[in-house]
Amino acid sequence: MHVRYPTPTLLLCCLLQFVSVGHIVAIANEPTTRSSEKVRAEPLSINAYPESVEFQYPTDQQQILLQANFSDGSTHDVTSHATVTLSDPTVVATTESGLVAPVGKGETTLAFAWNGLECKVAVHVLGTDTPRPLRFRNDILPVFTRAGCNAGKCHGSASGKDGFRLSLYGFDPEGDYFRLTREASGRRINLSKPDDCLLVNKAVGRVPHTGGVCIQPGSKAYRKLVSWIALGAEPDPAATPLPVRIDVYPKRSVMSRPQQSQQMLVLAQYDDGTQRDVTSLSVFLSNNDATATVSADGQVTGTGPGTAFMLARFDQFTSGTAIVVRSGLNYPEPEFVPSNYIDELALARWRDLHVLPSELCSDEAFVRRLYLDTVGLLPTLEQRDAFVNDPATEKREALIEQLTNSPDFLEMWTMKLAEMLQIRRANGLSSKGLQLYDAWLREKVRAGMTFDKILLELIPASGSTFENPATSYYQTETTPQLLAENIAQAFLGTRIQCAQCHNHPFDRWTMDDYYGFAAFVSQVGYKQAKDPREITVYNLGTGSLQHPVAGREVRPKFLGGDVPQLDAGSDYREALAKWLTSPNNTAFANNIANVLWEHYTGKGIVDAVDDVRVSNPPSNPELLNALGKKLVEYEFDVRRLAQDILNSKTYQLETQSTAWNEWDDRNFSHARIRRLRAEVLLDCINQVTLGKDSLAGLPLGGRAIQVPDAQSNNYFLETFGRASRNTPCSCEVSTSPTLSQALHLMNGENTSGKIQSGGWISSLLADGREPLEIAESIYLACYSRKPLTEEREQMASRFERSEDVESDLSDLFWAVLNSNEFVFNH
Amino acid sequence: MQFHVFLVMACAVSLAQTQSMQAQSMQPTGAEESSPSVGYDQVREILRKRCVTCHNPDEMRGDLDLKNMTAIMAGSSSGPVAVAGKSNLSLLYTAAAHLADPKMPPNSPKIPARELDLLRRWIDGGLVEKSGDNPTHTSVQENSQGDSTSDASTFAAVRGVLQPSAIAAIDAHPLNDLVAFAGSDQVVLMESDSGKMLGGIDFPDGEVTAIRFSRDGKTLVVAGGVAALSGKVVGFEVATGRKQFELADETDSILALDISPDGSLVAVGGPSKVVRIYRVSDGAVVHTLRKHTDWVLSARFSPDGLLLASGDRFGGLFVWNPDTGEEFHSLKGHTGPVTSVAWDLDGETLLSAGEDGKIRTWNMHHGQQTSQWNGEAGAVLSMARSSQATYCGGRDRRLVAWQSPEIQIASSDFADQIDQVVSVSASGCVVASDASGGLQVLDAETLQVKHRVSLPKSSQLLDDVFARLDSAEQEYVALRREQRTESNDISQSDVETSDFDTGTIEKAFEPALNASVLQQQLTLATEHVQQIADSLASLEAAKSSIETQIAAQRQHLDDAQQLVQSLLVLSPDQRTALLESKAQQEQLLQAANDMYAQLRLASDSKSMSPRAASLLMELTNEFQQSLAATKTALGEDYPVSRLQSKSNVQ
Repeated sequence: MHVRYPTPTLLLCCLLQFVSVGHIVAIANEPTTRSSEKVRAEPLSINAYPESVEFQYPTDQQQILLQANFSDGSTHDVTSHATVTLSDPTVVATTESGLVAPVGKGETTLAFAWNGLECKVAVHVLGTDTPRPLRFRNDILPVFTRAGCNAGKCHGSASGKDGFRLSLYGFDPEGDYFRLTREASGRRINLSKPDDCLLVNKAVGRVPHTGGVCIQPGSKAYRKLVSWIALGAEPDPAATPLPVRIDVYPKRSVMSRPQQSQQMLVLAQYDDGTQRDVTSLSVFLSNNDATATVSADGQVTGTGPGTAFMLARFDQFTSGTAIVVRSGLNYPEPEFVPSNYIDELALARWRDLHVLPSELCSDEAFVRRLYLDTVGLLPTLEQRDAFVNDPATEKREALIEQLTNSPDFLEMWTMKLAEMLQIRRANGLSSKGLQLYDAWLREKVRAGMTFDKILLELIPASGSTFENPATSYYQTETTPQLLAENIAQAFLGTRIQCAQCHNHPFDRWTMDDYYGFAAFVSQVGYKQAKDPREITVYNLGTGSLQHPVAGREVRPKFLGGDVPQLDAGSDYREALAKWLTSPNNTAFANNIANVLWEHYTGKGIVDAVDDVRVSNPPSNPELLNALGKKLVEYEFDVRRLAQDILNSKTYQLETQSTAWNEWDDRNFSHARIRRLRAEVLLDCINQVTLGKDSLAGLPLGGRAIQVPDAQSNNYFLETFGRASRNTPCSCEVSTSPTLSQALHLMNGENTSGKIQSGGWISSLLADGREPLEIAESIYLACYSRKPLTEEREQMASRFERSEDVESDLSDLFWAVLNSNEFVFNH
Repeated sequence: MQFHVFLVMACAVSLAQTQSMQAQSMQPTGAEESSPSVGYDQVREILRKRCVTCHNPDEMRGDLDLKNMTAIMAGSSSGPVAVAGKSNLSLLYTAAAHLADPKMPPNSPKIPARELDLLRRWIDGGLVEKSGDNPTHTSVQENSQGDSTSDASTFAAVRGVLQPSAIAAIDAHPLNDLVAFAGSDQVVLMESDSGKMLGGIDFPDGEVTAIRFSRDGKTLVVAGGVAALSGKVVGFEVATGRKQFELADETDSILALDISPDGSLVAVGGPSKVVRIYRVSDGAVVHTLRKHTDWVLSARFSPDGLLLASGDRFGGLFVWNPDTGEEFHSLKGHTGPVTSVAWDLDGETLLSAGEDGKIRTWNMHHGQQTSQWNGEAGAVLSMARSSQATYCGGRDRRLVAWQSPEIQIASSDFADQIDQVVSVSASGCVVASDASGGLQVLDAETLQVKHRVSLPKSSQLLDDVFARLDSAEQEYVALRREQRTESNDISQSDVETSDFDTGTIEKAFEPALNASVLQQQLTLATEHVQQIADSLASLEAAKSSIETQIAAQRQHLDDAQQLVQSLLVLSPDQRTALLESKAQQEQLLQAANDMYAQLRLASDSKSMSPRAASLLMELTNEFQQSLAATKTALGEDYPVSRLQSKSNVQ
């Protein structure tokens, strides 16, 4: 920031400069443009952060950030390029880098100008002369956190390091104060030798320290630490203001291209209403170094196109800045016409990122993809032909309508739910109990009961596991902690496990939240029922959880919500179920919507779907919120939301990427190639080979997606990554390739064996079909497409000199089943 | 006026360490020609600071001890680590200089260049023990008995402190009214009855961490050092304040200390988790007791000197035979750190107290716990015995006197947790200190406070701290500025010019600027093209060789397939043929694997152009596919299962 008045000539000069630089870069770096229309970005406005400043202590300073907004949606950090005008230089002083410090009492305004654009910041200097007192929690602990002392691999680990322990990222300030000053009295700090005691000597590396040099002598951190000891290392007085939240600025930054940078700013708000610039006391992290990195001082630099989230942590608070890095300027207007709200929101995101979507997929690709996604089977030859040859313009809508209303659609959805409810043989759940539990869920879904209503029955369920099979949920896990973790992870998409032992380091959950949530299921009682295979679940009406650090009793508290008024003895689970499934609980609706989205696109908007976290933000928050809102509007009828998704062009894009979206992995600008999940793959193999499997708990030829017990023995399903349902984790379903999968497809009974036993080839031959015709049927059944000319020619020449046509056709069938084109949905 | 002298001394002491390091590093550089011999005394501190944490007699990582000259000369099980005159053959130097594996210190950058240089010159200069002709280094020489400092250590004035701070150690004279406690780099002597400080005995080698009077009252044993760096024991004659002996060479503070009743042995313990017994007469280590699993916090010889008890931070409590070094009892019961141990006069009962809040008594005949009671002081941090009572103080800020188990005589509340308690039989007093540095003399029966004592405060010391902070800050800022001008300027300006420029580059300079940029780009591009051509050529060669391999494999695969086709009914001969073919394929696979490894090596070692890399990737993929096919063909069940299915059809 230059403290001067700009002349018109200079302004013109910078404009010219900008245009010419932008132009050169556009030619050098960018993919070829389809549209000839070139968009030239013009600066529209500048914003200053924070919008107003209040100084309480003369020693405080405040960094001001200036962000310019351009017509193409990009932003630029212009802090060091703007001019500032002080209306009253007796109140504050500023530096070129935008640092503001108080010099006298009073109120004034800072006027910033850049490129003819202006904005103002109101400054109020309160009337105190004493410097800000050094406090352990507010000043010293952040030094440790920033130097990495209390990180998990150092003194923050559960057992400490080399005999000295700190709480992880300082979640227990009183405990840390005790361990520094009292645990080994006189050893760690020595009040009469502030700069020559063990703590300081270790930190600066004057004595052997496994962690090396963590604090430089002479740095601000060093001065703080030594001064605090020299002034008596007092415990924080009761009146010490405590931080209540942090605000990170800017909220968002859109970089026109990599190598651009943006400074971050962290403001802490305290419970006495004051605020403070804590940028120099915060820790910064990037969730995606391939897109942007962040320095220890909060300077973000773009490294490649994409989106990233820059996390700032201060005290127990975590917040961040969303970063978009575009591949370059010269972005052509997309020719994509949205067909519904999903497309509109996806398109807005693509525009933001300078991404162009791929083309729509062909009918052949669509029909295969849709069948696999909705009913878990391939389209039959007839189904495929009927669709592809249908001349109707709205045939895709019609097929979507038809398939989402089929019973198999509900079977697929039931399988998802069964994974979330962890239906499996475990913790003594008997075979009969399992069958009843599975049948209960299946019946509810078939009867059209929505998931929220199912949970309203399941969560407060009481009674015997045979009479009310929903109570079996309380047999999947039996401790309040694990039950609460599972409920949070499966139904809210939130992993709170960390907070059992310490505040979550990368999210907002504290131990209070964890035990408060677990308290809802702390009064679940178990007793033996008549049948030895049966147990009775009931509400004890008493019992509570203790906070392990504070030692007090914890009252039930909704996760991220209030502490409800609950009558003693009432079933807390009723309140939990009502809150959880309430239309106002966006976390629940968004989670179900995200699970559905992930099923159809192969990637969650929050990814993984059960890892909603401040530091793992949704790739398209507007889209996620819109989907969640629609789901509530549809009264949790997933069928209707599925129709919205499937009818969007976003779902119907090709898998082939283009130069304008090849780097994109999270914004759905092209469809993902997904390996079929184990159950669907087995069903498809059986479908095309006419093979039949005897699956546990099902009649011969039953579908793998209906298997009730996830722990039942089946080599194929286990090898191809079926969820064991031991945890509600979305990671349980694995679609990653392994060597044994390849070997099993090549050599196992499921391919060559079923080709023979199913007898499809031989029956076609018996019908007198030509080999080439049969080969085409194999292609159509497995790939939903005809053989390419080249493939056809190869096969024709082979069949001409074939000695054993059936064997050759079987080999061909075998090869097709082994091909990626079959095993993947594309 | 008096304090000003001490001020200077205090500063001098705190800076002594860094200054001596600087002196070592600078002096020899200037005098390399005239005095090439660097002595062990000069490298000792480097080794202490950088290596001895892991390479000491207790830990011996890599079977190496670098604690003293003898140990260094002994080397490790893989041979000598220092060869006189040959630093390039000495692992001590090559490992530290990162010239050889294992690079030391592990997973860390090299130690500073000046320290490395000193190490190298010490080895090349013939591994001499003392630098000799340079008198400025005598202060850091290995301390030996009877050096100049011993005469200086007579009684000194009590030194002032910046502010009261926790007193690490207190002990009382067994016969007279004399209490010794840790002051500022000295032991302060006090008369408890009057609460008067009589004087001090300076301890110039760091902070005092443990104090113990001998049973005859003639010797005051003091342990001290720099935490996490050094620990030693000095014996002073109580009557004169003169140094009598000096022993121990620990690598961290000594927290537990006692001298045997006959004055012949000294036992020490600390964070190294061992108890070491030293012989006073020659300073030799008699025994190293290694049963503790955590810091050793307390140690006491029995009144007859036949047993030694020691307690640790994990709750471990052991009784040893100090003559043989054997374990006598392992006493299990404490669930928190054992902070204090004490003996009954007859030596048959041991008392222990710890942070589990309990006081326990143990019978030495059978090694069983005979009683336990809650000390009611919270976690007990210190316990003392008199002929009438047992005193304990702890985290609940209370001092409690017990006549016997469960029978409390008196108690007294303090302002902070009580760290140290000692009973003074000669005056009928108890002396206790708390964590904020307050020292109280109390009546042994009533625990009424008789005196509150604290070290004199000197406000000048605070100004000194801030003056040091200011100068450190100036150095730091200067260093940062230097670093920035050296390295970061270019990248910084890059960022700035690629951003919106406000016109710092004049328009007039643009053409020239562009021309030079273009020239640079052209040069780069030419180089790049050449690089691509080079790597393409080598890749072509590799490709053709791999193609040959692949062709050979395919041939063999085809052969195998044909064999399978023809072997619908297996005869023994055919079986042999099948096996032979399989063996052949395995050989081929091995050859192909080698080839692949070479290729990987080539791709790792070269920085390739993107196109060359993608070509290599293609080749690798193709190769892996063929490898996978071969593997499948070699699979146990492949031919068999195919055969079976064929036969079924038949």
